[in-house]
Amino acid sequence: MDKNIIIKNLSKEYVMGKVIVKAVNNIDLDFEKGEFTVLAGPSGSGKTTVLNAIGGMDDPTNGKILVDNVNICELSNSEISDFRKDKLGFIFQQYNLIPVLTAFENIRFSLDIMKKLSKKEKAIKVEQIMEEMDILEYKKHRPDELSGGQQQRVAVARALVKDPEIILADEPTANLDSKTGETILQLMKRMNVEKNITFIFSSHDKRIIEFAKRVVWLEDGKIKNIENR
Amino acid sequence: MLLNLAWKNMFRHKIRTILTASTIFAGVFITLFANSLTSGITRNVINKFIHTDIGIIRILPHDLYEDMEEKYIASFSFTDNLKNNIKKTVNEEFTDIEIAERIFFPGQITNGISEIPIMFYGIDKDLEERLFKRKEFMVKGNYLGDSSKNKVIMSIKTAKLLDLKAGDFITIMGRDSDKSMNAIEVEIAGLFNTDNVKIDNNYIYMTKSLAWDFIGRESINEIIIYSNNIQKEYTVSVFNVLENKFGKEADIITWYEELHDFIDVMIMKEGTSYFVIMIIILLMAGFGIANTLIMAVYERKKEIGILYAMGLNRKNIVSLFMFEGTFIGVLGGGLGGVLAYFTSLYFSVKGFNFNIPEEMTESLNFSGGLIYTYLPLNMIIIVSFVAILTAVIASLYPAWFATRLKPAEIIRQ
Repeated sequence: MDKNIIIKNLSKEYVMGKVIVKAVNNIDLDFEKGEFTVLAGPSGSGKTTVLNAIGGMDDPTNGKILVDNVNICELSNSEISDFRKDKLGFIFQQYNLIPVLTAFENIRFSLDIMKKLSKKEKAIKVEQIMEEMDILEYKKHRPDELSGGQQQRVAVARALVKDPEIILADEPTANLDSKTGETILQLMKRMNVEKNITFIFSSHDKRIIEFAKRVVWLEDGKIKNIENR
Repeated sequence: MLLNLAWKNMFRHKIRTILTASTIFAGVFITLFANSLTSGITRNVINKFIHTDIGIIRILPHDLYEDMEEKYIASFSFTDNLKNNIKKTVNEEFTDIEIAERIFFPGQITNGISEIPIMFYGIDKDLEERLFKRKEFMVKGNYLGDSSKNKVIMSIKTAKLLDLKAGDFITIMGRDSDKSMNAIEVEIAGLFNTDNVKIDNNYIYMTKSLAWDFIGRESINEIIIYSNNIQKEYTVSVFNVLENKFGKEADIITWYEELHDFIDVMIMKEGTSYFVIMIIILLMAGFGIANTLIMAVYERKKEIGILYAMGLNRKNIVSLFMFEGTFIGVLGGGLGGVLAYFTSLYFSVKGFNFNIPEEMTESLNFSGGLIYTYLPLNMIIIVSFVAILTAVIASLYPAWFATRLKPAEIIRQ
């Protein structure tokens, strides 16, 4: 299988007052295309830091991250924005929808940034994914008019609509009840299979861990164990 | 995309946006309305000068205009030949012009107790009544009538200074054309109030024949070119013809040259007031918008992080906040400009009752009353544009501040 993402000697240190905290300590890890991986571990184990580093949201202190053989740590600000725009989709624990936009507009915003499709094509694509996510009836609702589960579906749709190569999901079910969380996971699993998108989760949710093909257990910023299923 | 988001962001905190836009609105409106009033006063005074006194061009005998106060004005006069040539040229070249001939000379009036310096004007009463409509400005007594041989009219202000009223007799004193002192007693036929401070404070009118009797010579030393068309371009065209033909034999003075001191003062007053008000606008609008947007950046830190995560770059984030600032500027500046335009339009027809302190009447050459406002379109565009530009500049710091945020950190927060 193709290696989609290769992480080599990744370290990330934060300075907190006079103390240097090693959030991630010399990690080597890779992800194959279409993989459904969970970065698991307790709070502070470095899961989110690894996700942010892969997404180019945080500069590592050491090491490199190759995505499709490009070291994203060496990209300029503008190039890293393009990388996120073209290849990545983010899903957050808090949904993080833009409150002034409707569900439809929130999802379309991902396509607006890409500037590849016509207005009509974008509308068709957005409606299609909303239908797949079973949220089409809420297209004119603003985030504050939606439940947590509905908002997370919109967030997932927003990440998926631009057909990214990689989805980075940071504790996506943490704020959802078990039934809604399960549904969202099923949706993502289906997208993983149908569209061969690489999914990387950070979570300590047992349901997600059970769902994953591979679980990378982190502890104190280091890889403790890798479970392949 | 960014425009749409910026537009919607503007209405997140409607009251805050409205308050910020209101400062710009108020600044633009006040600046423009103040401008329309001062422009209205300027135009009003210029109109009044032209239509009550100087016409569009004033012609004096050669070498009289410069340092006039130091000369024996009554001894200057036009030759019949020059006077007739000027009249002939004007009548041949222009169809809508009328010519008035006057004799003027300085002197004093006294009520027997005190005296004040004054400029006496001998006029062709029927012609000037028609051209300058002095009769309309009479507030007491009568205009110079048929039996007005020894009658004068003066302003109500001058009369008050000497505690005089219509029907009273006064002594006028001055030098005749031979530079000898002369004095005669005249009756005050009536009192006028033109609102032209120069006329009201300095002039007394009498018939030309009375003036000739006083100076002892039948001559004229002022020719007034009068037209209803007071456009500067038209005046220039008349001036050019006259200057070419008679420039060496006479002093030819246009209304804008005659009034240049006043116009300079008004332009300076306008310029200064605009400058001061503009500074206030810049400060109010700039601080207001910067403050609003900095608050917005703080409130939306996480959202900015999400936008970065979605693929927006720093340029996009800068644009987003600058669009927001610009919208606020356009909202306030645009509405201020539109309201100022319609307000000015209304008062340009109805007149704005403007009472000014008496001590300011001298410097403004205007004694208050109805002002017909005047607001040129370019002024609206300039002021509104400056307000919007200020909004854009004020957005720079918050926008820059937003780009300094680290996406991972703000999302984690």
